[in-house]
Amino acid sequence: MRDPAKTTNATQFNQNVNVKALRGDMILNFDRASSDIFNHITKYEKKYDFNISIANTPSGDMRIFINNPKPAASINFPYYPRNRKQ
Amino acid sequence: MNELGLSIKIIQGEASIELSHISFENSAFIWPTDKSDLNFFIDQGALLVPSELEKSIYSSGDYLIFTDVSGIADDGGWDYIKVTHKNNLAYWEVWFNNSWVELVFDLTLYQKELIEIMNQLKVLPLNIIVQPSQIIFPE
Repeated sequence: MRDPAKTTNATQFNQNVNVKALRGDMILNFDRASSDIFNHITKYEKKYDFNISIANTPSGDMRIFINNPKPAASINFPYYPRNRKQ
Repeated sequence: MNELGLSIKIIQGEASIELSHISFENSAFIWPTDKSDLNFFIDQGALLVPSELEKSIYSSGDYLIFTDVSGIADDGGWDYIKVTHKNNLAYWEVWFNNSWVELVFDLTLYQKELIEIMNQLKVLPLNIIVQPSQIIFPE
């Protein structure tokens, strides 16, 4: 699984979070899992009751996307909704 | 007035390109030229989404014009762009890094340039995959 993008627009994990442990927990104890047959991607969703993200995008939501045809493109990241029209 | 300035970047044969730790071979991308005002976004790990750009040629609407290199919009924090056609101008309202960025293009030039780009994509060799090949829209 590749590292999340290190760009100003992307969410980042809080440095105190054990990402590997969260990933393992999510695969076993996900809230929701779904497959996008067209894109060949499996998605896991889970909401934790603590912040896993950095300060400007606080969130307990995590997503894992398993890219089945291209495993190296699989990714996990804190989910922070952007469509908050202001 | 902003400059769209788009071209087609083709990676083929033995060549490959790595973007945000993802390798691409035999691929085509819509890519900004040096003079384009879209370089700012591409430098932040975005890819242009051809099918959404094409929709924006003809009408106003909300389009996922930028997405992450992975094709997963939420991975890079990308959201729909509000595109408005008005008074022969095309306005883009982009929610980027917790603030709004507005781009304005001459609509006639915008349509002409995008139609040319789409026509170039249609005649690519069959072994060339237009990227992003997987598009996961934001939640």
